[in-house]
Amino acid sequence: MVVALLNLWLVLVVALMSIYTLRHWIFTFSRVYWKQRMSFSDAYEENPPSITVLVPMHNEGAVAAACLDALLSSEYPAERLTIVAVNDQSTDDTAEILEQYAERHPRVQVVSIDGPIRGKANALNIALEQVDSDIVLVFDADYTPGRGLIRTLINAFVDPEVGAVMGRVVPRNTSRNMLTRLLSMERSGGYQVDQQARYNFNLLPQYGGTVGGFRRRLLVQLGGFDRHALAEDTELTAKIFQAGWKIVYDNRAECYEEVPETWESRFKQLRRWSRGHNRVLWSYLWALVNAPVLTVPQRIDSALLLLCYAVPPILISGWLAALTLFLMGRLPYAGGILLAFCVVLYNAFGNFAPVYQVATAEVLDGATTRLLLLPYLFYMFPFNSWSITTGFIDAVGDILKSRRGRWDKTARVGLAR
Amino acid sequence: MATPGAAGARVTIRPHRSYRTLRVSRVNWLATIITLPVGMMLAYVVLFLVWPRASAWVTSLLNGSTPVNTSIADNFLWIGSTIPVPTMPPTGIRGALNVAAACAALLIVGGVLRKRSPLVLWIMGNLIVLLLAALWYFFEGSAAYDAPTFMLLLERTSVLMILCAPIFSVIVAALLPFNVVERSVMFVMLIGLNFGMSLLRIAAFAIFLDHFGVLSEANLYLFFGPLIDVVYFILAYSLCVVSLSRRISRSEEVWEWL
Repeated sequence: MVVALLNLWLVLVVALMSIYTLRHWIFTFSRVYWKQRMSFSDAYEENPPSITVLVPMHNEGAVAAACLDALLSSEYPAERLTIVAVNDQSTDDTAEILEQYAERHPRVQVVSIDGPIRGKANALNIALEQVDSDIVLVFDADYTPGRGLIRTLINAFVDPEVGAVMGRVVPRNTSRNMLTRLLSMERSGGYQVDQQARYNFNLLPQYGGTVGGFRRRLLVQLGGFDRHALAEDTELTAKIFQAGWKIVYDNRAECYEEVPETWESRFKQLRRWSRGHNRVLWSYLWALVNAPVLTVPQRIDSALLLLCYAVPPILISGWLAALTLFLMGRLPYAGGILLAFCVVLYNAFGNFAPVYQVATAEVLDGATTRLLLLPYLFYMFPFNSWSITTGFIDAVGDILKSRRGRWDKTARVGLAR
Repeated sequence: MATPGAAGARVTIRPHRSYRTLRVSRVNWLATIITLPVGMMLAYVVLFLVWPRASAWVTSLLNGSTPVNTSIADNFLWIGSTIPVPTMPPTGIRGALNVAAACAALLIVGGVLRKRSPLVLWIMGNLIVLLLAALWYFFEGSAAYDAPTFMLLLERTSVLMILCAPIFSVIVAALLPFNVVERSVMFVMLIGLNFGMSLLRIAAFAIFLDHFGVLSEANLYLFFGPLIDVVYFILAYSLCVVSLSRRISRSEEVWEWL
């Protein structure tokens, strides 16, 4: 009985992973060979709308100035661009830096938050109360947007059915160490291939919480962000699609960010993402899969998107099932060549799926020698699996105990080094 | 993407990465369709002809130089093999308990230090497997796989992996415009590396078991084995992708504007 259950679980895990593998392959294939879908360009050349850029900050002294300087030098008409820097209970010199910018630049407004709740979702909710414009863009403080980025991003809103837009994230500290190089490759695969392919297929491109924006009135209509959300971006994505709106992914809208430079920092970041994402999974999976406004492929993609941070713990559970079967001497290899072949093929190909997605993205980006780092992506595999699994466990604890998550800040290093 | 320049010179305008995609050709599809059956056939022929001799050679080397002093013959999918069988040192109940205690202590130290790098997590993962294997042995009193059964499992897995290589090669090669040379090199590298590494793994694991005994079986089979497989698969692929990327970065007709 136990052996049969373990075997069944193993088969189910391999089946789930095979679905993701197939998805990776189809996405990659579509990005390389199929027609690419692109959003509007130059739609607001003559009369761009008034917009507000929100920059939530908590202890961002190392990067705040660079981000604000980049926003202030944007090509967007100054009289139509308001920058709201949200100081979310910083204890470093962020407040002083923001005050200096507000004094020197009338376009920069500072919202200071003092309260029991800390976190991006709460900061955005409070800041949004003071926003007049309908289109709101959000940048994290470690991002340095290029001069034309805002103009590129807002083009998507010319379509009245578009609720949010998302641009491409490109690390600027790639050359710092091995971790930053590998993260740069991961980002490349995630945006150049994965997001673009989801947009190509009219599936669910994700609003990523930064280098993007949304319609304020839509967010108000949807009840704002959950103040305690750790993945307010995934939550908004789910809400927008559930309400029948669209999200545009604009691959041309590139923005530069600082990726974590230490493994410790990366671990915390992944753990927080996983915790927040899995809470959204719990709250929205059923609603999205049954949303009448979504097509069948969109419903399938919504499940796969929301489940992506639950996959590592599922994979680890499958691996533990394999270990138990091995210790019992009942590994399914004895059960049949076909099943054994499938498991072995999955081991060779399934584990490799993210790698060829990254490789294809890097080829499209013009990379050559750095592709030799591809094998090191596998070096990150157990690290990613474990950090995501701890976040998953946190999320399960949150749900069972009805507790709220704590926002673990990602450490910044800053440009001036 | 060449256009006439100011003084009649050709000016090359390469599309920005956001605006470009790659052309697919009929040759590419043909290569994809042909490679799979031909590749699998070739892999099987190589296995059928070379694997029996190579595995016998490795076994004879081990028999001459290490305490690995027995061997067994296998015939899996009509492919003959001679596999070394190590003489595993006996592991008593007390030994298993000592290993479990040592693993638990190291895991606690690792947990207290809270160092979370890939290497540390990789070591801790192995310690967890070793701990579970030791506890299993402690309660059951014996291991599920004796040395011949384990080596047989290892050898059959290796044969299956080599047969998987052409499928892998075809599936990944379909995603980028590899030329015939790159496809062939990837295929040969995959089969060659797979073949060589499989033999090396059988020999290395036999020696390892010979020294560390039955408790290390799970680590070898579920941690080191897949790790070795994936690394050389990706290595072969990445070398060919670098070649492709260098080639197409100079070749304008490959790129297509969106």
